[in-house]
Parts: sequence; C-alpha cells; structure tokens
Amino acid sequence: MKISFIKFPKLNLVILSILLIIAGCINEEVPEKWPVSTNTGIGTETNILIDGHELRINNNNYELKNSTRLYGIIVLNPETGQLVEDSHFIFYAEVEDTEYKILKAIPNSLGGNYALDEKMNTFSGAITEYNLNGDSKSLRLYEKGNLIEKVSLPLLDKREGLVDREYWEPLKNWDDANYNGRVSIFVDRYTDVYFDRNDNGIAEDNEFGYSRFNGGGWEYVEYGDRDYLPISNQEFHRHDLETGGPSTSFTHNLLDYGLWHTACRTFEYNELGNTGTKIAAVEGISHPVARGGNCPGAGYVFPLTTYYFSLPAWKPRAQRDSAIALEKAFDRLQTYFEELPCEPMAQARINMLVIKLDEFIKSEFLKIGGQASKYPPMGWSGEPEEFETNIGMTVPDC
Amino acid sequence: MYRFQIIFTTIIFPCMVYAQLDENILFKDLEEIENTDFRKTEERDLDNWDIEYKSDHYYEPRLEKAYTFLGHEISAASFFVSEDRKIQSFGLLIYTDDATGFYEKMVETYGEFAVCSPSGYYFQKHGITLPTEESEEAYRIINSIPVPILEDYKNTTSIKWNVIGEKPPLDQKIHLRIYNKPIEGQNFDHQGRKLRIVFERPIDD
Repeated sequence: MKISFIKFPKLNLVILSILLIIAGCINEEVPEKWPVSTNTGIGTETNILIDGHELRINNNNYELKNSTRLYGIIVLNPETGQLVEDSHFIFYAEVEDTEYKILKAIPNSLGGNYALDEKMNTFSGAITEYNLNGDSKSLRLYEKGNLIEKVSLPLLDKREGLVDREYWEPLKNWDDANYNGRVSIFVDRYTDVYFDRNDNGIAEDNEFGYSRFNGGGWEYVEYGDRDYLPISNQEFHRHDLETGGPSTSFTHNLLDYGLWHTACRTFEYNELGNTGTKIAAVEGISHPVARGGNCPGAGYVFPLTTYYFSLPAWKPRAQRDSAIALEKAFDRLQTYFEELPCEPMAQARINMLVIKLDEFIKSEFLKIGGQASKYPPMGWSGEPEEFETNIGMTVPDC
Repeated sequence: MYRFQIIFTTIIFPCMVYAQLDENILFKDLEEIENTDFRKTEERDLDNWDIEYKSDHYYEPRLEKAYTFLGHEISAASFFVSEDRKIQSFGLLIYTDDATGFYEKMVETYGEFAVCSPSGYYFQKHGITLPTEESEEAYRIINSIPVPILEDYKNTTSIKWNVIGEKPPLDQKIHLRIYNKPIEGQNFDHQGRKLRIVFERPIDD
C-alpha cells in the first residue's frame, strides 16, 4: 500500500520533525571540558570551572575566550560583553597538545604581591601588574620562576576606553640560550612592550621600548639608543584580535596576499629538541621587482643566504602562515622599490634591496610569533630546503 | 503592469546596480551589500581556496554573470570589513583565455602599472639568467633587466596599480594588485590565466 502525502498531509510534518531531531542529535557538539582547578594560590579558595567557553568562578558565570597566540585569557561580562572591571584574574596556562590547560588562577591580586608557587617554578614569561592605586603598571619578567626584570611603565596612564587588564605571555624561545632578538609582550590592547635579548639573557635595562595609542594614532616610544623600527597599527590590531578583543578583521587584511609565489613546501619545520620551537631552514630566497610609470626600473635580490625560521612548536598552519609572511615581506619590498626616488638604478640601490628584504622578512616573522635569522639556532642540524615557488603548480600546496 | 514593475525592481534593477564589481565597492554601504549577494564567511570556509584568507564576506555566484570586472565574469569574491564597518579590501577571482586582452583593458582603465614582480618565465623569455652571487657581471645583468611592457604583464607573479578616483569619495588612493597564474593544465606560454584581483585601501594611511 502506498502512503500518500496528499491523503496524510501531517505525515510530512512528522517525518520532517523526526529528521530534524536526528539532525540535531548528530550536530550536537559535546561541550569541551577543561581541567577544573580549585587551587587559587593566594587568598580564599575559589571554585573555578571551565566548561567550553564558559568560566564559572564560584557562582558567577563568565564567557571565556582563549587567545590563539598569547595564551592570555579574558573574562567578559556575559551581559555587557565588556571585560569584567572589578575582578583581576591572572591565569597561568601552559600549552598541552595545542590546547590550553589552566594551572592556576589568582583573583583580586591587585598590588602585585602574588608569589609563584611550586607549579610556577619553571615559568618564563611576563606579568603585568598594577600599583595599589590601580593606575600605573609595571611589568615583571620571569625566567624559570625567577624575577629577572621589573620595568615601570609610568606613561601607561589610564585613558578613556583603555581596558585595564592583565595579560601574560610565556616568552617564546626564552629558554633557548642561543636566542637573540626581540620578545614582544602584550600589555593591553593599546600597548606592547619589547625586550631585547642577547646570549647573556635580557639586555640592559634601557633596551626596551613600547608603543601606545595616543587617541589619534599609534606612536612608538623607545628607551635607549636603539633604533627601533616604527611599529605599524596593524600589529596592535592583530594583538587585539588574537586576544579576543573587539573583532577587527581589518588585521586579517595583512594576510590578504595570494600564495601564488611562495610554496608552502619551502618550509619544512622540524622541532628543535625540547626547546618548544620548530625550525625551517630555507636557502635561495630571492625576489625580482620592477616598476613602471614615469620612472621605470628593475631590481633583484640575490639568494645570498640561508634563513632559519623559528616558530613555537605548537603553532598550527605553520607552513601556510610562513608562506604568507614571506609573501608579505616581498610585498613590502615591492612597495619600497616603488617608492624609491626616481633616479637611475645604482649598485647601492640593489644592495639596499637585500638589506630591506632581510628587514621585512624578520619583521613579518615576528608578527606571526616567530623569528627569522641568518644564523642557525644552537642544536640545529639538517639540510636547508630550497626556496620554491608555486608557479606552474595547479593547486596551492598547503 | 504592476506585476512587471515588481519584477523589474526586485530582479533586474539590482543586477544593473551591481553589474560591475570594482574599486567603487570599497565606498559602498556595507549594510547594502551584505544582505544581498554576499554572505558572512563561516568556519568551513577556511579551507575554501576561492575565499581570501579569513575574509568576512563571501560572494557565491548565483545569477549567471551577476558580477563582472572589465567585462569578465567573476567566479568568486570576498571582502574584509574594517573596525568602522567599512569594506577595507576585497578580492575577486576571474578566469580569462585572453590575458593580454585583459591587461589591455586594465591599461585603458587604470593606466600603467606601478610595480610588479616578474615571474621566472619572464626572465626565461627574455633570455636572462638571474645571477646567484654578486659580481660586476651580475650587476650588469640586473641593470639590463627590461621593464615589463603590456605583453609581459601576464607573466608577472603579481602586478600592482595605484588607483585614485576623480571625485569624492573616490578620490582616495586604492591599491589594485593582480596575481597571475596559468590556468590548470597550461603554462605561461598560453594566454589562459586565473587572476586573483585584490582591491585595498592602503593600511598605512
């Protein structure tokens, strides 16, 4: 016997409902359970439960956002969407299988009298703190649990719209004795602090600088004699985004470059021992440029050196992000070449292209949380990969 | 008659308005666009290579030849939104069997290119072997690299124009960058190209 939908019109609804229920069951996401911590260290015992994106502290629920790069955690008021003003939580976390595991949380730690417990003995990173009046901040830098630097940031006064929050960031590569370069620390959505590091640990006190938002734009404030590169807006917007701040896809624009040139297979990342970093060595990076208009010319960067790219071992999409970073460096080289004064191409100009590309490559890798160096990191052994392009390939390779 | 008017205003009129997708979209009202042919990107779009990396909105062609660029049908387009809810940049994808013809239209419309990166094919075609180390001979070769002419535009990996409109609000500098790639199964010898075209407000301004 045939069942006619015309004779039994409600049958349609019944079947539809069943299908919807089945679909709903299939699509139901199992909430991600995070470790539960009741050890708050200092002060009263606090019950903390993290369930998916919900954070419950005692009986209060907060929306939780975990950053992708900074490991920082922001507590938002679920009703207003704003950061919770009166609760100062510092979360320590570590990366475990690319997920974030919370080790410890300290509420209401104004005054900076918190101590590191045994779990934090190996903590390398930076913690921002408030003075007792809650106005100015200082920044403490820890290396394996020891306070090695405390920096006052007196100029970071409160400004309208500035959200005073505490973030921390483990210093990538800090434990790598061979690590040289700059470590950037995110203080708040308007401020970044940079430390320079050499073989002997942190550089002198005055070798750091920071950028701040002055209401109309970004300005870079430097301490010491170093000639820091100006920091562009995008980096800060990027931080903003990655810490779960107001959504600004503006920054993703930075990555809006085709992958038609740099091939992902150029970057063969391998972990470097237990340093928490992975390295890709690339040789033969070169780039031709030409400009038209009223002042035509052409230039070319020799493939002079091998580059060693370093990223945190946990970082996903490493090849793709690296290829995009290199594309971005090429793009900046093009812009630089385009804007050179109109004069016949001289040898010095061509030499400058090499220096500029080097500068751009390093800067772009810093932005994706990595490093680019012409020197192999200690402990690295292997053969560099040849720089390859996607030209002629039919599909992108990552 | 009344019914015809409805059909005209609901179907034909929007098609006429949005027929040409070019730098002017950067100055359009986002609200006007996002509820029409553009949909918000989703998590699953991350693996869609037709979408610019992590774009905010994506255009899936629904009506045949609804959007064109210089007469070429647009296969896909997506754009980014800035903090102040303006379109910061957008990319579109077109295929052409006549790349030189396309670039002729580009020059007619936008003038000469600003800067480019020639492909390996370009150097090969001009009989130039790029040096691998510094020497006097190397610098002689570099100084003799010919500047691409219109026929060579399709043989660049990327090529950029600076576009400035005549009247406000279009009188702002826009970057227009095109990435060239031979169509699948072909090489640079052929005229077929898959072109990724990106319009962008300069970020550093």
